[in-house]
Amino acid sequence: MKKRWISIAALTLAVSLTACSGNSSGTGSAQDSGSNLGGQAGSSPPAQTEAGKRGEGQTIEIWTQWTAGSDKETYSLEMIKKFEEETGYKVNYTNFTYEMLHEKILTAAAGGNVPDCAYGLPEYIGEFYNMGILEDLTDAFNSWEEKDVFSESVVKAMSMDGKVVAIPNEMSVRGYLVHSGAFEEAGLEVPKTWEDLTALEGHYEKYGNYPFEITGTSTRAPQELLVYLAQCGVEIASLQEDGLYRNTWNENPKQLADAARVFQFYKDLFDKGIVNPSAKNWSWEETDDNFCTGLVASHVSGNWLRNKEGQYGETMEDVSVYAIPYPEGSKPYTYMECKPMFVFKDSKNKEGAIELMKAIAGKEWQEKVWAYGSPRSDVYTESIWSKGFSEIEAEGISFPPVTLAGVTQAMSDAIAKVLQEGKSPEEAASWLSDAVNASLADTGELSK
Amino acid sequence: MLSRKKRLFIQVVSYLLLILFTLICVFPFYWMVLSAIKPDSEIRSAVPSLVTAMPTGKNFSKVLFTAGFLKYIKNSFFVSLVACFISMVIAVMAGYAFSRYYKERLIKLSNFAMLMSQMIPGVLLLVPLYMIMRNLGFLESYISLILSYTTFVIPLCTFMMSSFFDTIPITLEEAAEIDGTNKLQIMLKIILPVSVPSLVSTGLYAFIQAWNEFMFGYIFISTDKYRTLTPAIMLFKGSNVIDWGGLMAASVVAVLPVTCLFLFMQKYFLSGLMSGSVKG
Amino acid sequence: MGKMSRGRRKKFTAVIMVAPALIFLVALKGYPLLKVVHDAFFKVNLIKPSEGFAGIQNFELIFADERFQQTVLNTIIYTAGSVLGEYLLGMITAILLNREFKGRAFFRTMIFIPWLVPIIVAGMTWDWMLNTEFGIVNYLLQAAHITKGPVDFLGDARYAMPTVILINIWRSFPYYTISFLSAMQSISSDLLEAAAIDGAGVIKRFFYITLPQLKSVSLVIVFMHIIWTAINFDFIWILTEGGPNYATQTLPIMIYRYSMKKFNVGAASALSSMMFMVMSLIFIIYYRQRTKISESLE
Repeated sequence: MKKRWISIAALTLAVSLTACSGNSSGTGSAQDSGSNLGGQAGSSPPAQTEAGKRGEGQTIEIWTQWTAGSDKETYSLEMIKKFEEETGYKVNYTNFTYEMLHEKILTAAAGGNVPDCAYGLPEYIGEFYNMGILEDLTDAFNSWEEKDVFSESVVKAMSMDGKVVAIPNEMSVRGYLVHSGAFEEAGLEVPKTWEDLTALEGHYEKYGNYPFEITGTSTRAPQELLVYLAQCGVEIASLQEDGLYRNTWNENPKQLADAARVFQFYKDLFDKGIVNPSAKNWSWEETDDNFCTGLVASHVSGNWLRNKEGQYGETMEDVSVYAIPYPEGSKPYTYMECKPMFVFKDSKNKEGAIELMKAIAGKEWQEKVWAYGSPRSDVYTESIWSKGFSEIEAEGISFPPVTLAGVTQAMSDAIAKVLQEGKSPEEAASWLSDAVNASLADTGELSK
Repeated sequence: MLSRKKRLFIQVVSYLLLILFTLICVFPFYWMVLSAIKPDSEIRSAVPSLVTAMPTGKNFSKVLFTAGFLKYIKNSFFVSLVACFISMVIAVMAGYAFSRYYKERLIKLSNFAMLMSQMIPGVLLLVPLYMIMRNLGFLESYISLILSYTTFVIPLCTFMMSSFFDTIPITLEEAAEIDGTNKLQIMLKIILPVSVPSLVSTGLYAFIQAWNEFMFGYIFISTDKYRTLTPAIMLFKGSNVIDWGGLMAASVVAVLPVTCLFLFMQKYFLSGLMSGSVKG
Repeated sequence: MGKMSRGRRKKFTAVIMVAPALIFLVALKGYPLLKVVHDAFFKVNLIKPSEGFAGIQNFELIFADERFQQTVLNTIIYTAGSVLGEYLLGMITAILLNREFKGRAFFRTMIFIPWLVPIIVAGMTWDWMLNTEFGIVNYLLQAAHITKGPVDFLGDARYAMPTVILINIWRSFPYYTISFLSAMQSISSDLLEAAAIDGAGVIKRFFYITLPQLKSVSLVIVFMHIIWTAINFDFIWILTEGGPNYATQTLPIMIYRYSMKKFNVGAASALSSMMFMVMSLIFIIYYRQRTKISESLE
């Protein structure tokens, strides 16, 4: 009697489990598709394959990033569909936020179930390369007839140890965005240097708006800090003779003083009332909106602000773009963000993945999806968001190619130490130096 | 005794308080729905209005059709229903044992283990569970979610069921047993029919928990095909722009089914939850 | 089977009935838990192969973390604040609802709704309502001249923790309401009427009759919520990710950071094990109290 009980219970469990694993849904839309990972194995291509459709019956698994419901999503889906029709490949995409994408790739790499290819941030290149999960794309890239539309600095940004390990899909630089009207009305020149900025003391009291702002938190904060550090001639981690990285500020008083100068600049901006006192808590959400609504006269940001023109049309009419302010007697720098796409070593369909990468970085796709910020020299628009940014005279820099999660966290923490915990600029710089090295040591990338 | 005046005063004050609490509880939902149907220009307006003159379905059609939420809803329903069903089968069995055989040592031990297991946080077990699912090949499938959701609702479901079974007089079964009916038949023919209210509330609890879960769905699933609703909501937070209208529309979509279920079955649900919570 | 003695048969049925539940718990909670305790003493990394025995290094690393103390303190503040607020609100609403009046069922339903919402939806909706530029809360506060400028509730280290606690109370108190309500309804009305005839006022009746009757349900609900609040991860993660500048980082957030951000599973496991030990201690205190109360009732 009781045995029947168990078997029934076991049966219900088994039935429901197989029900889920065997589930298949398929409404046939581009996004709803597809077989499991590796599910295409063994299924032979249909007999009536058209000539030229080399991808027939094959699947490409790609992890992407776009904001749900955005134009980027609509256009990307269109292009994916087109790619499928032209090549015969089946593209299985899954969309994530960058944060999720990063975690997912790392955990998937550990479990050996990576997709064929994925979008990414420049911060990941060094990390993934060091983990040995990236496919070397040098030959594929060099044999590509369109490779010359990518500038040397773009190719460099996609390379590690002289090997091309990623294909770019988007490029942007940061610019110093200014409501020119705000300065004209006050009879002021647009600030060029840190000194020009800090000289604006009392601006808020006189004109009712803050002349400048910084981003104190979120991913934007370390990116801004990196630029200011470069302008003072220091690197967050520098390449050593043994091929590994290290922050050398604490061993070099000159560098420590230069780094401290940056934190002093942050502090001055607050002490002198150049920026809103709340800016120490602000993330990009606040700073971008403040600038667009005209609450703030100038701000360092990127070409995505064009998306807000529709909303803030009126207040954004007078926006122009310049090089990011730098300390007098130094050089302007800007943060260059060239977003990579990776093909993974464990991919089961490298050929298809590379073909898809080339299509995404191709002219048609770029014009459709990334017209404002393409890494290709033959794709641009005449607006300030595209041409205006490309004409900024400043050297583009990016993060060193190491595992960055801990490093950028430490950079944000260091800003908070100065602005929120009242630590001195020297203390913060010295703390940051140690924290960066501790993080490098954790990931085994610290030079001895 | 209270004077009439005083009574009236208390009555008025308590009504006012209740209205205040209701406002606090319900206003966020109103705001969510309102933000979802407001046109873009009104969403980001420095003076937010409490009504909208031009409601739009744009955000909803974006969520459901462009962003693929129809599929996520389907996935969430499937995972929650299966998890709910398995949990109920298990909870009915265990709950019955807890109620009828509480003197057995094994049952006492299980009771303790279950109470104890309620305090193990999901985040603590996240990594080992991830590894287990990976080794079993359950990542990227509904199974990983169903198994973990079931595990985390079993204790409270069991307590809810067992406290209900406590109220069913044992004499009913004894009579049947003497007639030679076996345990399974007793369960199906005598116990379960009178347990419907309790089954409903237990099932609803399991369903809601599974439907609302975020972390496992976020970590275990990296295929669009199997993604559930709650992690998908995050996708409206872009890297440089947040689409609040879309985000709120997606939230409405996620809340609506559960709220409807609750409103229809609240009578059962609340009483069942109360008995389980007191026991657990 | 017919030959089995009654006692043995009972035992056998009992075993079979709890077996599925036990299998689930052992496989998906017991085993992972042992794994956590094991990993606490090994150098385990999520994305690298394990590097062997670590002794107590993982524990040392946690204690050396400059945010550890603050995190423990945050966890205590968050838990105590939430549970206290939930208890008070739950009690007040239960008292209000524990009378016969028109619209009672309606109010009870409305008040229960926040508990149903997925954490991510509650978090995102409040995030949006508290937005500094376009949020309704800041607008209302300024319109009523309570605050002068917008308050960055979740982004300012001074306000972040109180804000997170308040939202958590909003989300959780309905459960208290319902539990108290059910306990109150089981108090015999004879007792209250007798007290009323003896001249005991509303307040006196509450403190001398109602409250003592709620002792048992209070114990259960408070202890369970202490544990549930202290171990909750998603809620704070969605609202603030532990920020700004670690102002709302609690232990589960720190565990998550160690395992999923730094991939140091060993250290995360060490922290988890310690947390589990403390939780067990709290649980044992609770279990004893509970046994005492139920014995005194019998």
